[in-house]
Amino acid sequence: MPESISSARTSSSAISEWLLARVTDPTRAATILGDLTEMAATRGRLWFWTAYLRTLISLGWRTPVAVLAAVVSVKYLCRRAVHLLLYVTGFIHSPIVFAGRYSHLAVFSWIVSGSVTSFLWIVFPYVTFRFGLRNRLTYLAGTLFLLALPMYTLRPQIYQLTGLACTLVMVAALASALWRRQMIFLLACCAINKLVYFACYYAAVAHSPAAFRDNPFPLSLFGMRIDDPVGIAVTVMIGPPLYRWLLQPRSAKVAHA
Amino acid sequence: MNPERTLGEFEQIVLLAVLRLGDAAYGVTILEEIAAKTGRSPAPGALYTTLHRMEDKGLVTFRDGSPTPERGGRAKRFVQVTREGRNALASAQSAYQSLLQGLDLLDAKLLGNRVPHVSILRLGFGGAYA
Repeated sequence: MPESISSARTSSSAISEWLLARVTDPTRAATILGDLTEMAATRGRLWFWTAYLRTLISLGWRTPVAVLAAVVSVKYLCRRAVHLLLYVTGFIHSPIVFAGRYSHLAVFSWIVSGSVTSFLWIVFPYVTFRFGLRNRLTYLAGTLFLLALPMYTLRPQIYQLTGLACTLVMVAALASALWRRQMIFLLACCAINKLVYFACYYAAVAHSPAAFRDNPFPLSLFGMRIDDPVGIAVTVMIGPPLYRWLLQPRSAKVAHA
Repeated sequence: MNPERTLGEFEQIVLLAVLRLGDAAYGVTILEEIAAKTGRSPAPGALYTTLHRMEDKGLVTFRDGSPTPERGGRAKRFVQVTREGRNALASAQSAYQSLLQGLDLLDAKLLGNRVPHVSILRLGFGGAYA
């Protein structure tokens, strides 16, 4: 870049470009700021800063709202939905405790449905707000979530059915060229989420075994059991780059490079 | 129906503006073209959000230009509509065409010489316009 051109960048524009790059990527941020600078030559500084702030909000509102939605989902909605389902099915009044049947299918279905719901209480609201409603990823996460949700009735016949239905949808998504990458995104997010959580958990157990003797979940943060804030933090950190890597078209990725 | 190929109102306007501008389509010229042809000025933030979303969907691609002093040394990024973008636009426009057939809404006598504030363009803009 010629000296005269590079020196045209002031420190305030460098800061505003850096801030814009936090809500999009550096290439897009530089282009946007270039366009605004070009238009500001005829419209003035006030217009520039107003347009800049509005652009920053337009591009950046999704991430904080998505995080907030994930927090609200795990902190408030999850517990209420579980209580409601247990109440509706009468389980609270007459606990059947898995009816004493621990078949391989029941265990498998329980693990699948449990993993899907515990993970999607965070990820479904997050992807809905972060990537939008008209997005295959949101469709797939929503479908799996709704299929797995009835597992909270804790009725063996129902959670076996939800586990099987979720497995079928996941296998079908992996087999389909249109949905494979979205499914890989969800599986990778879930796996990383669980790995980070178990790493934190076992590190905490190793550090203070006495604290975990009576209560396996003694850790909490912001009024939530520790796995929920860890899950939200991991999703926020790995979600967007994983999405860019897996789900953005090749041409877009080349253009960003 | 493919949810990622259905186009919103503003997406169609941006794609049409990019096609009209050809090789000269970048942020500033797209905003000017839309303002000139629709009589309304979209907010830059709305344009960039839409362009980025369409890039993610594979409907448009970008080509880097050269840095210029009036842009603070930053390069232009020219927008091009992909084949998928053209197909999606053609599909959306053909739906409008079939709905418009027989309604005479675009009759020159009704519009006069004014810039056509076609009601269909107003629908769905929401916060896209300043």
